[in-house]
Amino acid sequence: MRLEDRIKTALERKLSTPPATRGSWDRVEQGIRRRIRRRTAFTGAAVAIAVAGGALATPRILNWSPDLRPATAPFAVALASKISIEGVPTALAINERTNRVYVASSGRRVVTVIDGTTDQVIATINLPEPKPRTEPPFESQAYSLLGEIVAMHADNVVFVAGFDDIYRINAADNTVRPLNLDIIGGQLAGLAVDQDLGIFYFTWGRDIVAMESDGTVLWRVDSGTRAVGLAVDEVLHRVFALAERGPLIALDGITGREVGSSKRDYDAHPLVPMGVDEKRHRVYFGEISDRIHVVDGSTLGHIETIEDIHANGLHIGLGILLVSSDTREGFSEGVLSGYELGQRRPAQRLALPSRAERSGDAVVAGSGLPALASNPNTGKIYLVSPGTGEVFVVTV
Amino acid sequence: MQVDSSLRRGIAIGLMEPAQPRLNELAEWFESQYASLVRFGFVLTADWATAEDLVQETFVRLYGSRTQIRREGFPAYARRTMVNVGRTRFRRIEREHAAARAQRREHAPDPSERPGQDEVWDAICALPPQQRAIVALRFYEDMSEVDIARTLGLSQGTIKKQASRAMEKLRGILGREES
Repeated sequence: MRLEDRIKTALERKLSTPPATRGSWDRVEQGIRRRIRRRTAFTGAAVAIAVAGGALATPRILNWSPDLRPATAPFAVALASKISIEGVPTALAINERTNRVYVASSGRRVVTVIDGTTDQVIATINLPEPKPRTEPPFESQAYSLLGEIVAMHADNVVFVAGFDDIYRINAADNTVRPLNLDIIGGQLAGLAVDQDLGIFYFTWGRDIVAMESDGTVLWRVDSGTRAVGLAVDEVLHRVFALAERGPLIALDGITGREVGSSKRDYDAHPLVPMGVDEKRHRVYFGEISDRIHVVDGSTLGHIETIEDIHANGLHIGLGILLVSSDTREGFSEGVLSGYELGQRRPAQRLALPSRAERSGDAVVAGSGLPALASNPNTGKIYLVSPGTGEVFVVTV
Repeated sequence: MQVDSSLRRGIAIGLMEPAQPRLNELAEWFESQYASLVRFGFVLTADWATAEDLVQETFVRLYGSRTQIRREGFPAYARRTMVNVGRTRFRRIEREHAAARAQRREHAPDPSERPGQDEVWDAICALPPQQRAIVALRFYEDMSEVDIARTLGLSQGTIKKQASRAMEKLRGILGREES
C-alpha cells in the first residue's frame, strides 16, 4: 500500500471514534466571562469606587473597549500602611490568585512573603549565598543584589533573580531550587511572565530565554544586542526586549521569532523599568535622562515621550500608569505618580517618606522606590522602600 | 474599599457582560463545527480530552479576537487559532505521547489491534505540531496546498517544504519499522 493511502487509512480509523461526550458551550461561555472579568477587573472596581465615594469630578473615559460600557472615574491614591521587611527590599511580585506578595531583599538575600489580605509577613524564605567572586569590576555587594522577582499565578511559582543566578521557589511549600543555567558573563537584566501562556522570560547579555514554570527551557535566542529590560504583552503574546543604547525589539512569545524592532534607539540602563498597556498595546519604559517613552507594541513606532520624570519603578496596573521616583531636591522622599493611560497629565502624586540613614546596608541607598506592583483583585499597590526597609501599601 | 463586592456589582449591572450578538454567533459555529474541530484537535494532541479542551479554549480566544471573523472564513481561522493555542501545550503532550509509545513497545501488543495498525498513527504523532496539522488537513480533510496555506496562515512554499519534510520523516520511521 502506498504511504499516502496508509496515512489516510490510519487517520480515518483513528478519527472514526470521536468521544461520546459532546463539548459544552456552557464551559466556553464561562471561560469568556472569566476572561472578561480578569481583563477588566479595574474597570468594574473604578466605577464602583466612583459610585461608593460619590465622586463629583468630571468623568473621564478609562479602558474603553467595544465589548464594554465605558467606566468613568477619577482616582486618588493614599498610603494605607507600611510593612517592615528583613534586609534591603529591592523587588516585589504579587500572585493575584493566592493574594501573596513576595518581596526580594538584597544583602541578606531573603524573600519575604506577605499575606495580601492582612498585609502581615507570614514567611521568610532564605536564598543561598552567591558563589564567591574575585573578578572585577564589581564589588561583592553587587552579587548579593536580588534585582527582580516574578510570580506565576496559575502554577504558584516564584522566580527571583540575582546578579547572574536565578532561583525557582515553589510557593506551595516555599522550597527553593537554583536554576542550573549556562550563564557566562553579563547581568540578568529582566524578568517577565505571560500569565496567559504560563511562560516565564528572562534576559542576560544578548540572550533571551523562555521557560516553563517547572524550569524547562522552551526557547533561547540571541537577540543580537545586550538586552537590559523585558516586558510582555499577554494579549499579543509578544516579548519586548530593550537593548542598551539600542532599539526596542519584539519577539513572538511562543516561538521566540523576532517580529520587529523600533527604528529609534533609546538610552536605557540595566534593569530599566518597563510596562505594557495591553488594552492599547503600548510599551512604556524609563530612560536615564528623566523621561518615559511610549512605543506602539504592534508597529514599534514611537508614540510620545513624557518628560521630566525619572522612573525608578514603572508599572501598569489598576488601569493606571504608575511611576515611582524620588524628589530631585535633596532626594528627601519617594514619589508615586499615577497617569491615566492614554493621557499625559499626571492624575495624582503621592509623597512617600522613603529616606533613612542605613549605613549598615550599603547595597542600596537613597529614597528611590525601585519596584512596585498592584493586585487588581484587592485594588492595592505595593512599593518597596530600600531606604527605610519597608513595603508601602497604597490604595486607590 | 470592598473591591470584591464592587466587582460583583459591576457584573450585576452588566458592565462586564460579554457582547450577546457575538456570543450567539460563536455558539452557532460551535454547534456546527465542533465535531470536525475536535477531530483536527485530536491529530494535534493525540488525546480526545485534550482536543476538546483545545477547541473550547480556542472559542474563548476567538471571542476576544480583534480580527473580524466571517462565517465562510471561520473554519480556517479556528484551525489556525487551534494550532497557535495548542503550541504551548504540544511540548508537554509530545513528551507524554512519546512515553506512551515507548510503553506500548515494551508491552505485548493488544490482541484486539491488528499488527501494524498503530505504527502509522505513532509516526504521525512523532511529527512536529505544524507538520502534523498539515498532514491532517492534506490527508483527512483533503485540502489542496493553497487551502492549507490559507488555513494555517503560511505561504504555499512553506507548506510544500513542511509537507515534504513530514513525508520524508514518515517514510524514514515506517521504513525503519518495516525493516
